Amino acid sequence: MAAIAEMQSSAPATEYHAKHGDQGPVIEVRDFNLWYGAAQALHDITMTIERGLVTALIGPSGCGKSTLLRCLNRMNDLVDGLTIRGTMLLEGQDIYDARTDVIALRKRMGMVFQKPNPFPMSIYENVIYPLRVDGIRDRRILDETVERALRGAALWEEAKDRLNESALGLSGGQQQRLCIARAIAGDPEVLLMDEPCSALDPIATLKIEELIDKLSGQYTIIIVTHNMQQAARVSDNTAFMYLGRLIEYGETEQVFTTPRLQRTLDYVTGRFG
Amino acid sequence: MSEPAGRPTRRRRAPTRRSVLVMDRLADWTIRIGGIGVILAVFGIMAFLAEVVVPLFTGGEVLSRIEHAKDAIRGRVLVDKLDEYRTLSVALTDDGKVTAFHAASGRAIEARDLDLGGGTITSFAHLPVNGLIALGFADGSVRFGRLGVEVKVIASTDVPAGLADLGGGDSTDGRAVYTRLPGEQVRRLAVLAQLDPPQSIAAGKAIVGLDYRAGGTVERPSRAFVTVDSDGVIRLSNATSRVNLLTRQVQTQVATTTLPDLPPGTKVSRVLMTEKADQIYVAGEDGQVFRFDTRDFAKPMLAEQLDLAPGDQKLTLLDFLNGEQSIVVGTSAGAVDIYFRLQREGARSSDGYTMVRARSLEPHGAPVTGFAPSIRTKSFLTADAAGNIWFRHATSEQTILKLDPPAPGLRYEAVVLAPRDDGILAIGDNGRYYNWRISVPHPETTLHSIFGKVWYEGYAEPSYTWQSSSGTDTFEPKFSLVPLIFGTIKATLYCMLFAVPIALAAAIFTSEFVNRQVRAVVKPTMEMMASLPSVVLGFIAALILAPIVENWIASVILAFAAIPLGLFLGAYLWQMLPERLALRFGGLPKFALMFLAVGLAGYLAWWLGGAFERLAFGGDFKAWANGTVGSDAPFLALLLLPLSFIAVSIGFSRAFGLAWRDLLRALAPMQAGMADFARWALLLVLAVLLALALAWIMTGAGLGPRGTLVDTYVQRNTLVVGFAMGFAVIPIIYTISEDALNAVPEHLRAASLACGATPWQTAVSIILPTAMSGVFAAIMIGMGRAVGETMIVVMAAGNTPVMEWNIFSGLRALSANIAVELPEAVKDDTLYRMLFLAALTLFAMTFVINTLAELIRQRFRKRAMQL
Ligand SMILES: Nc1ncnc2c1ncn2[C@@H]1O[C@H](COP(=O)(O)OP(=O)(O)OP(=O)(O)O)[C@@H](O)[C@H]1O
Ligand SMILES: [Mg+2]
Repeated sequence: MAAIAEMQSSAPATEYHAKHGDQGPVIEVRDFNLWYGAAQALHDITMTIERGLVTALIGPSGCGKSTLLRCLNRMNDLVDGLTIRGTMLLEGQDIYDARTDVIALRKRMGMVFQKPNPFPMSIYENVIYPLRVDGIRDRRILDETVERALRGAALWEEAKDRLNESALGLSGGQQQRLCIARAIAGDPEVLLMDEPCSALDPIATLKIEELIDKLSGQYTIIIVTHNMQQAARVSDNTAFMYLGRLIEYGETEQVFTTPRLQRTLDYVTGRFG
Repeated sequence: MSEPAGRPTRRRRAPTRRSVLVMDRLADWTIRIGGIGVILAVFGIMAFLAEVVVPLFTGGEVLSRIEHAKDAIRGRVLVDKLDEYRTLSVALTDDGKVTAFHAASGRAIEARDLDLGGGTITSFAHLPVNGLIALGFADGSVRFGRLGVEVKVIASTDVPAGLADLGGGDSTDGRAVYTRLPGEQVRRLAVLAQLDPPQSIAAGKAIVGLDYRAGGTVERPSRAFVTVDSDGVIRLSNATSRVNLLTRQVQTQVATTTLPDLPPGTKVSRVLMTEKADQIYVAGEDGQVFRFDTRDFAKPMLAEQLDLAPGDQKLTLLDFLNGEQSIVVGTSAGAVDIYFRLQREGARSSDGYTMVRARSLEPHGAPVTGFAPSIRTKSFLTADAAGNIWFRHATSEQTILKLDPPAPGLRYEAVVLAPRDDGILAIGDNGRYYNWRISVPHPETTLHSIFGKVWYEGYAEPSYTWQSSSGTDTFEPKFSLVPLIFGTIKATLYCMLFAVPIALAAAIFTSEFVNRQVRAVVKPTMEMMASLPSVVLGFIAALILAPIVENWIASVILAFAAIPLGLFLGAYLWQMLPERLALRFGGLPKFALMFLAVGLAGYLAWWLGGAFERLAFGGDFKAWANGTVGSDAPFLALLLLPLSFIAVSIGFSRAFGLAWRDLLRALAPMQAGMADFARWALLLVLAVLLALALAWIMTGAGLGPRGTLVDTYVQRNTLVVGFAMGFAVIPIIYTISEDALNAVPEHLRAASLACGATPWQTAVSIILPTAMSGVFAAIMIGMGRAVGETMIVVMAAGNTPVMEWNIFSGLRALSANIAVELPEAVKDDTLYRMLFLAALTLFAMTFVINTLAELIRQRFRKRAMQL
């Protein structure tokens, strides 16, 4: 207890050795703090997300990974009693500025959730939903988008003959890929994935991982995962969070092989967490 | 077993305790019995209702038949009378002999013959209801009298000694029949036969046709009679007597007028006169019927002539049914038809009325020879030349009983229907008489008379009508459930039209747009609304709301437009607020602003009501609704406004949607708010113009709302019912649909928002469709409540069973009808059973609606499980 109290008060700076992409940063987080009511869930997070790279967020349960992810597209707005302090920039524009158009912001970031959550509509309607809300009705554009997104999510071959069937008839893995297709249909800049494989079997997981690999050049991807191998396999940078703090943020290979902090090592080698 | 006790592994393997098992069993059985009990109870109620209702459709039955020889009667039987208790039968023959006999045993009872003074009877008339008779003689004179059974209740001590027993509690001394009653009382039945002195009408000419009616008061009795003499001269006479109440002296004045001549050679077979002596029907044997209009006594006119027995047929029957509104016509071909005298445009008669064949009943196989009307209902008997007697009912047009001839080749000289419609007495030409005891409890109802169109007496055309009772005995009850079912549907529909949008909007609002604290207040409040007793709602609606709506009807109509517009306006103004303020006042003040908007709009509607009435309704709403002043167009435009607004908005977003969005995005929020407001205002103006144009075109094409949706205004109308019932139904629909919306998993909401959808888009395109079946079930359950709702419709609907969609007229719902009329119904009579049928219908309606709702809900649950 004492150790924890001490650690919280003397917040050590993040061990920071993240790889820089060749396109510069897309998201910058500076001294970001967040409270749910009176409980602080994020402490002084400072990090940049590099464009075109895959960033993995790891850390023990309850450390604030999802919270951080949901802050990026302001999905946390719906939570009552939320307080934030600090800045988050998307391409230099303040995400939390009062003038920011939240709807437009969310359109720039696709999100994939832990549990597959297709709408109870046809596969086709699911994929084009981001375009529908934009008021696009041109059949040609919609058809093209469906094919592009489903191909992008490696679901085209399986789904092309049943586009008008209910999405709920797909298997769990297919549903998750459909959700990815939906997330990329609106052509976002950033893809946020919160444990996208946690509900899937190993084969489906493999498929999603391959998919992330394929998408990585095109989109900036931030993925939350509890699976160390997965983080190691798919990501370029890895951020290790603990108790609401960003402990270490660095190049994936280094974080998993030669982390700079003992706690990170303990976590990635499975000694605690 | 050898292991030490108390180890966990052993503990787990121990058998379940007995008490737990018993409790489990007990619970299982209690639930099972309870469930089965509920199902049984529901089916029991249904079975009970059905059991009460079934006799409406089972017709009638013959309970017994007896026959006796009637050697005492010689001559031709003119009439036979039976008393109310079917005890004594009194027959008059054309030789003036009166023959009475005990109906059950055939035993003759002494009766004094009529003293004809040597005259020969050439014609005869009698009134079934009061036993008055009239005799026409060969010498041209007419005599009036009475024939019937005199009934007295006496104490048993006054009964003479030495009576002969007749069986069944009856005994006789030869002159009267005595029936023992409970409580030391005896009913004495004796023959009543009397004849007044003759009055000469057609000196020396035989009276061949005769009918008469009696009326007036005790001091001034009057009788009208019509005679046809052997020369074919028809005379209408009016005799008014003045009784001096002190001296008992009677002064009689007779006025006589002659009707226009019949075509020469007409053989008069029947003369009929109405109660008020204003119509006289004279029938020739060949079926030519002449209707005279005698409303002007001094100047009678031939109103109409028509052939009721076409071809070679002969007219064998022309008589009134009870009430004298219907004329039964029978022919030698066996046809039995019922005619009404109706006012018709283009009628080929001098008085604008014409005889219309309203009902064609089942024809006999042989010439119709006998007829006997009921004296209390629209039932009647017809007999044919082949010896059949049929018991029929005029309203339901059904033949309920067919009595086959008891002996081959039998013809009847007279048929009599017992005064209570519970017996038939017929005198055959074979020297026997026949006496049936019958039970026909509900002759007036058939499936067709309840659910189909029926042409009622005096109505211009067949209609659906509910009118169960009236002051007089001669009234024709009208038991059509259709207007009541219609009333229920109408009340439900208008109520739902009002309640569903509000309840759904509220449900979407609290489930999608309001934070948890507000919801925690709003929802229980709404649910509390559901606990308002409906009698209170009905009371308020009838006594407070109805007069208010009536006084400020133009304002109320205006408010329907003003309140939504006010809310929209408020919303747009809110968007123009600087963010800082918008954030600061986002909670309660925003809520208060909504109320303010509604209040202001309401006030504005009230304030502008007069001007609006002048502008749209020609200054007088009620006169406008009647169709006397003003034009349909403004009101129609108001109705069309929502549709035209939607059309205009869709048009706009199709044409400029994307560009507009980009433009808004480029603007600062406040400017964007203003721009959007300007767009809205412009669209609204366009929508109003479009609605006006459409309304103008539709009105030009004759598609105005007046005459259908809008008509004569009455104070307790469907609009008021819609309001009040809406209040009862909104909380139900709101609560259930709100639950359904809330049951949509959070992850769908998150997914939609993450795709960049606005909360409104999320609500409309994801949440609502997903929760659709739940919302639908909510609407159905609300509808079930509205259908069964009683007190509100009893109190606020005016209870007029009319069938029109007019929102400003009253209605009578099934439920209200039961509540209103049950106190009047006598157990087991037709009205009583009809009310049970109404209950069964209501039960079926709510059952179907609720079952449908439940099925949909089940489907919804299954689908929700998949998510
Ligand atoms: N809506 C909320 N209201 C209050 N507290 C919350 C809320 N969401 C998360 N928290 C708290 O914030 C902390 C961080 O939660 P978060 O969901 O971000 O953890 P996580 O790292 O994603 O964990 P996991 O790996 O289990 O998903 C936890 O202590 C959690 O209890
Ligand atoms: Mg999480």
